[in-house]
Amino acid sequence: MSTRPAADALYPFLTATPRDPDALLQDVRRSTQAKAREIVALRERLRVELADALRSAAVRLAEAVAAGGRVFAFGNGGSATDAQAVAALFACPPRGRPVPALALPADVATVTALANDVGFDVVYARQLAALAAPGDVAVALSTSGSSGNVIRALEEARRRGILTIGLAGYDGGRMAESGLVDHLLVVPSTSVHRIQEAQTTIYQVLWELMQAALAGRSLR
Amino acid sequence: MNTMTRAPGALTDLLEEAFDRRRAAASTLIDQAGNLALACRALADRFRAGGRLLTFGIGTAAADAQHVAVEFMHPVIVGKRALPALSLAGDPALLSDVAARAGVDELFAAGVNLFGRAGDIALGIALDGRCPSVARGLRAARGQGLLTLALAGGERDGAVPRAAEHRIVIVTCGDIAVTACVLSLSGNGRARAQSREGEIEINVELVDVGVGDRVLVHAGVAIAVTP
Repeated sequence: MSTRPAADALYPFLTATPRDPDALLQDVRRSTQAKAREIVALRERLRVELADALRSAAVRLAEAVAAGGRVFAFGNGGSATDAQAVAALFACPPRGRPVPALALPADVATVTALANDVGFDVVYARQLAALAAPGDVAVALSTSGSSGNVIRALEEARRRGILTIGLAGYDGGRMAESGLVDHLLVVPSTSVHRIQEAQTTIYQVLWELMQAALAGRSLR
Repeated sequence: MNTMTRAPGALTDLLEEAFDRRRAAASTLIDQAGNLALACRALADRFRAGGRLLTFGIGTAAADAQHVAVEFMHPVIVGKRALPALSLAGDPALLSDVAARAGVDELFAAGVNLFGRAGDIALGIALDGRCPSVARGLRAARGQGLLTLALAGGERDGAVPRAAEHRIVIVTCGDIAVTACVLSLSGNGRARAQSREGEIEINVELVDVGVGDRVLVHAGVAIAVTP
């Protein structure tokens, strides 16, 4: 498997080369199980390594929300859709308190207007500048931790005294180097897919802990 | 001083429990690997013949549907083949119009009827496995000759998985993971272990363990070695 080119390894069924179909099916099954195992192992690491960071981020988030703060989430590509999932989870929760939350990438008019007229680096910074105020919360998602427009938005958030929570992969990238993030949650992986799967868990757990804190659980 | 900052430690149990629940969901994905492989093969057959992937879901699953589409359209790994995919959950102008005219349950059936062609693929995502809009979207897709896939939570026979030919169901169950100590290895991927409830037989295919290791067991399967 390891000798196959990347595209071939990732979409094994698409290759024109005839192979034993049953063997291929077994390969895919095994590789799926291996990936699921990686997911479980990575979450196990996060449960230990990020426990303190998650708790303190949740408490600060709950304080901001309890005081009327709003949540602004942003990222690119899969992290843009994760930002939408963050906003949907916070604003329309399955239980608990709805929190005003917006996904900045979902505003296609503003994003495309800014990207076309100014540049892609400003698409989230400008939205934060217009919409966010002290007491609000910025949730930044970037698997590399270094997306230019995400870093620009974090700079804007810092200027405005907004609480910043960052979800990154690898070693945290520029999110870690810049010191712009109040609560940095890094998934120690080099696979974009493993990082994004783990980030889903992180923001869901963060949301659960925030809801518990809002319900007064941390007061006991 | 705000009292909320004083006792974050009280959130510890909840954090542990939140991770436990997610661990169980990930481990059940392992059971679904065979189904997933079959679905991948069917998907590849359709792509090879010029089919396109249409994805849909509601709420956070709408975000997931868009995420899946972009993974195919613009793979993160350089050199990986891009494949045509469109999320039916991403355009608020279209969706709100359908919802207002025909009702929310028609959201994706309308999208499938507009964009779907025989030979395409429909992927419906539903966390609870019951979402009527997704189930109807899949049924409309099937009626038009699209290959149908459901990615669902909830129960194996929920409305959404029932509407699709290929089903990946992450059964949400109340079985909580327990820790156990490995007593002996049986050599066939199984082991005897000591849990708080007594001696149990477990599956250890997913973990690299030796006698004396502490493992986390969910539904009879060791899913992690614990420190």
